[in-house]
Amino acid sequence: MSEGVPVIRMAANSLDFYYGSFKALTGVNISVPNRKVTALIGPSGCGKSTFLRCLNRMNDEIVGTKVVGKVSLDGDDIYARGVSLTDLRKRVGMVFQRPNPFPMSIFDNITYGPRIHGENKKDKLQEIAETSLKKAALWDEVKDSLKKSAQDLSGGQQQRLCIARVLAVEPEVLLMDEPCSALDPNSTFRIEELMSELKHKYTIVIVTHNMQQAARVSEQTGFFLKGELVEVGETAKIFNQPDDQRTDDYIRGRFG
Amino acid sequence: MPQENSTTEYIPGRPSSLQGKKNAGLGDKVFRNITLLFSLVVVLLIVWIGVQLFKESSITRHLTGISILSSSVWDVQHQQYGALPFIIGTLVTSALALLIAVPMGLGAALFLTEIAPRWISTPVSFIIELIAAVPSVIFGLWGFQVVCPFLQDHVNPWLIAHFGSLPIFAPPATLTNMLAAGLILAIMILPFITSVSREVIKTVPGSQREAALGMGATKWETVRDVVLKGAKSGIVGAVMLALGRAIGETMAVVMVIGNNPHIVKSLLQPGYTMPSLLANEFNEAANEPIQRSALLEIAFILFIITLIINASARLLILWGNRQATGGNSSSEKIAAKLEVVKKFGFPIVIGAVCLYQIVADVSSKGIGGLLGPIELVLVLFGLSRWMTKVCRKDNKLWNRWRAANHNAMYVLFSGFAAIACILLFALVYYVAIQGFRALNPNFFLNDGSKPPDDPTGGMKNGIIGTLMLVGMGSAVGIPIGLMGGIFVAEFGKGKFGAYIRFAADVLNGIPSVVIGMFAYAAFVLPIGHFSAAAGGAALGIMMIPTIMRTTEEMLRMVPTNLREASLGLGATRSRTIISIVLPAARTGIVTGIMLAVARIAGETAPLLFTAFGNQFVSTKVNEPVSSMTMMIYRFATSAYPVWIDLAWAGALVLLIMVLTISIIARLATRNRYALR
Repeated sequence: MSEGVPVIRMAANSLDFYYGSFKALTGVNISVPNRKVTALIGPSGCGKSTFLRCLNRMNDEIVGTKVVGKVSLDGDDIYARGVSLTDLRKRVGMVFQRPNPFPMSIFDNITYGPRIHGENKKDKLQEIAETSLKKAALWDEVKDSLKKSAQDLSGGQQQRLCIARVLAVEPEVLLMDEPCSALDPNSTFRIEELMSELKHKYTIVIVTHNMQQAARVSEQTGFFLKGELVEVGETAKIFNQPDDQRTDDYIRGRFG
Repeated sequence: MPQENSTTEYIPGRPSSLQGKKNAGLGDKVFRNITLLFSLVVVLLIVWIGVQLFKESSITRHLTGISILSSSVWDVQHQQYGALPFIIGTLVTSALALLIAVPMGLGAALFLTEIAPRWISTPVSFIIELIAAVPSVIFGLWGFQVVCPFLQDHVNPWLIAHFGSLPIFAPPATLTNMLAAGLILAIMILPFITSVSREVIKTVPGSQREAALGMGATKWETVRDVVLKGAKSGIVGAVMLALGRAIGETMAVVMVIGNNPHIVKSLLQPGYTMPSLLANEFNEAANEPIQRSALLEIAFILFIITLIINASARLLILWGNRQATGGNSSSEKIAAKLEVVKKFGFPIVIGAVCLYQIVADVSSKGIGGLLGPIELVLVLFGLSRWMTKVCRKDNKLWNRWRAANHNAMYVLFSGFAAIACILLFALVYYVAIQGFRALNPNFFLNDGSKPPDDPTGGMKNGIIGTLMLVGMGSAVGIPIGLMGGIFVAEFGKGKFGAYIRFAADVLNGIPSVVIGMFAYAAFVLPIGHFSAAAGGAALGIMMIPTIMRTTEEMLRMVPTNLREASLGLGATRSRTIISIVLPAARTGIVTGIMLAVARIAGETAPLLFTAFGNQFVSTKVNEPVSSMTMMIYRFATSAYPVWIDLAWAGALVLLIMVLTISIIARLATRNRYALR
């Protein structure tokens, strides 16, 4: 089915990242496999979110940051000159830590992406809204209130709306930055269910501080510590018999 | 206390070891209530201003009744008082000012918040805020002497040549006219719109910007769809506050509008506004009870208009702040209705005007008339719509078109910010050149009683008068503002504090000309003569709300743990405030006071009705005194070159004074907070 699509969608090669003079990431090497969930874990401030934001160049928006090394999408360097940020971010979508719906209606939120990327036919937008909301398992709850403000939804619904909003631009890779950290357990469960649905069609990278979540949803796990990617491998292996002592300590709850 | 029993139980009547002296906490209560009284002054003042103006204008109200609002005949000889020309003139010039200043101010605000790197945005916002400190009489002088002649030579002929067929640009153009007034007003409210919009734009959460960027929106698209949408009601509030200012502005307008008490259709003709009428006719009206009453009634109307505008603007801003985080569906209903107007109303009106203009152009100039400015704009507009349509079909073209739009908007916004800076430089440049040429030692040594052909005149009386008036104003304004500010910051957490704060903001928005008329009605009329004291009182009233609000803001910035450290040692609340919190906020409070002083030092309008002016040096509190601003106004509008030079010299000295205070004040607290 996925002929022509490489097995490795994204890769970072000896990636260093600086906030001003502070080095936040050192020599990160990782490959993100197609249509799998890759989880990034590690204690607060270890650089896992920073790394995630390198994958669609969201860090470009922060003044005084610098990237050294290479990040590629399907083999093309995303930090090369002449790369269109808008195109890159269309292909590599992002869901943020806190739900951030726009102050518009649900419908306008979902169709915002398609509209800026050039779609303006009413019926097509309607169709996109419906399919994306269905993919995000929100359609049944909001189909009668598409004109209502998105900010009136509950936190869990808002986060699914944000996922639907990203799906509406048909990204290839989905970056999720602790998408459940602001949600209650029930909403968290629904988002995790959603992720296992979505991985059949999308490549997902998720940052989480919840190790159980990483174990539940991912095929591959990377462990970050002090800006270094200590270890990356199959989730089962990382959680059961990691190679590195530091990973073992973290998994067993000895620190962090 | 030696207690044998380890189980201590509560025995009624037994003095607890925790019970202090009987009147413990009394000091705190007294302190709180004293500050409360001071804070109530703002509410009291608003009521008093309304009541006093209403009472003193009863003669004309009985004479003309409600028809003062609808009659367009202002004929003092025949005791006909119709305020319509002034109301219309006020609304037209203010609308014109908003039309120019809102896009520019908003664009400059977006440039400062969203585009410019810090090393540009910091100095540029500093410069723009300095424009706000320039006294309005200097704007008037510059407008009358520099801008009006420039417009008459270069802009008005062009407007007549290309738009003369439209009634609003019908010839002939006069040197002073409504257009010039609108333009000067626009420059004056530009910094205000910029700084308030900037504050509002900053309340839009960064997470929403990230959401749009993260989906591949360009920065301009993010600004247009997310930032402006989220900040909408706050920006509308800012625009309304600016409208309140424009409506109440006196000195700059009275000098450039031409003061013609008839309704005119063309913007190139002279008009009149309510505040400029007050400033202009007051002298002859002071001894005529009926005319005086008519002017007081106009001041009352102005008071009511600005009160309504300011109150609703403040409510909108409060509402907008809440809305940035939580949604509100009733706002969407209003938005939906506005959408209909936007979709059908605007295109029809604009289309009709364009059609009229094109027909007029062609009929007057033949086929060559199709190359006029309106036609070019229409062609550009059509071209951009067509480009959008074509590019949409191809992904690559579409991305290029979006990038081009983004760049175009960035250039536009940067241009707006640049224009704002250039305007300030132009003003300072002219004042400096003309002022230095005219300045000599006589300026400080002699008073202004010299005849118009004697070049040795000076402003000694004005300088001394300004110092006196500012001193008296400070004596009234600083203690009340300071104590009131302490109340709202330290004891005003609840609803009551919010009301006081609201009242202070509303009082702050009442035009100085209204406060001047009030001070005239309340302090001059009963006593029977003009006096420095009445002028000082008017200036003091103007200081109260600004000092109150900055004091409050500064006190709130003192970290809680500092208070807790003191309270935790057993200090009382009042003790903590006086010996810990106030000293910690000292720099900020002093800055606020300095800015308020700079502002009243440049005031003219309220002094015309209270301190009145004096040709000679006077230091008596109960006698009329002059001020630099009043002297600049009277000399600048005279016909004698010697006096006009004197006005320039005065403007230079005043500008140096005011800008120095503002610059020192702002530098002292730079990077800590943004002052308005």
